[in-house]
Amino acid sequence: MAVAEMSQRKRNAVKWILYSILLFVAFIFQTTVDLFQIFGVKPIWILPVIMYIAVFEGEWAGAIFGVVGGLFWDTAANKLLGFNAIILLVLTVCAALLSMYLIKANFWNSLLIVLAAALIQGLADYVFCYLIWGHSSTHLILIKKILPTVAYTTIAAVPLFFLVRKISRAFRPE
Amino acid sequence: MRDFLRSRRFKVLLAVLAVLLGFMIYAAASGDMATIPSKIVSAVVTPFQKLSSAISTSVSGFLGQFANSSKNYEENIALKDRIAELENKLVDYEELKDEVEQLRELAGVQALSEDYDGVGATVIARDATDQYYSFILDKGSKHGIKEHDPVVTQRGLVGTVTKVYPTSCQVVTILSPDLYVGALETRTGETGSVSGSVELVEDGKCVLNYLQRETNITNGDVISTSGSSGRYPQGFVIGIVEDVQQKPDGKTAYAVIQPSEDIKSVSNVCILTEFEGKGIQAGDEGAEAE
Repeated sequence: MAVAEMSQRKRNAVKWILYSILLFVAFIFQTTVDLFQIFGVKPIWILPVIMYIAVFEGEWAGAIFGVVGGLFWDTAANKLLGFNAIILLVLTVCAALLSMYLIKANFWNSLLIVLAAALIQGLADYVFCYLIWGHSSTHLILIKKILPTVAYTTIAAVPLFFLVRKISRAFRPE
Repeated sequence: MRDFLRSRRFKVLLAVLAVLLGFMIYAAASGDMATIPSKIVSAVVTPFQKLSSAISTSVSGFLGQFANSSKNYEENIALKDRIAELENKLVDYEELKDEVEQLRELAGVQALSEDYDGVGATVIARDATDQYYSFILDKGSKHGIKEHDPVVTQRGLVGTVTKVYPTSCQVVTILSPDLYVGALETRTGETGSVSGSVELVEDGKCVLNYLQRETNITNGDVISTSGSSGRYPQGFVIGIVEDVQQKPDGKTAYAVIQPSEDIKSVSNVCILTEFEGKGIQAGDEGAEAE
């Protein structure tokens, strides 16, 4: 059945299922051993997917996906449950409001949002998970691991933008 | 924007934020890192992580044969040299072993038990944002795994279990500065504490701290677990000393250790659920998750 022939309710259901599958695949990519690893750095896949969903679908969808994706992330990472969920909740709502009231949801603006979000998440991770514990030379983690991860995540986010935009446009209400 | 801040949606989002904060505070205050929501999420994602890990491992293994052929060739030559060196040592070892057995018989001393009860496990996930290479295994409380169970391979100690879910568990490795393992140098009998170091984590190395300034430990010495805390079996190899240096304060020394196991890429491990001396003496070792 073509997308155009589907009822609005059915289109919505398919759209959210596709977004959920995309988030789940992103989670699997992110946690799979050595997948997409370059010079010891792996991209964060969950964050751009969620940020793009927030940009294209608004603050409500962004917040729900942010919390769910964040809880998944917290379970896989050695973090306190809720750490990434809270960060992603705040970031997705901010991204959605930005795209609704201040900026256009085009490629470069969306990529900039992903870059800013990855940087904020990375800095929060650095401060709360490394810096405050008092180990020596933690700045090396920031320079050698977190900042390269932010850069790699932004590059990896490029194809995801087109994927999320395609899903959003294909199932948009007529 | 003002409309949004006054809307019901905004209030609901604030409520969700408060609930998440509550989860965090509960998890932090109770010390129970694996709370009910994380157990549920873990139960959902573990089967998929197992599947994706299996696919990824087989694909990267196949491609790695071609990509790493030059590196494998050099490693092969180095390993052949190492085998020749170890074969020479094995002759001495056999002689010493017989001698020890004879002395034990004379002194009426029983050999230490080398029996461990363990569960074989596979690494199914490593998160991109964990800088100390902690990972998730495909075994959990259903398989008898408990918090603080040591994780080892045939080569040596890898880390310890810090969170247990029904079908998976989280492991903090010896590359983490949050893990402390009581250790012993077998030749000199000097003791210290092995933990990770931010400076050395990328090289896959850790350090043996709290050595005396005039330590006799030298390069090539073998570091093993002391078993003094009852959390790790005694005599399990941790690694080989690569360098000995003085601390900046000049009061103590530390040794840089190359772990026997490649912690950054280990994929199959054994979780020790029972071992001789387990839980006998608690105190000086421990794992603290963030």
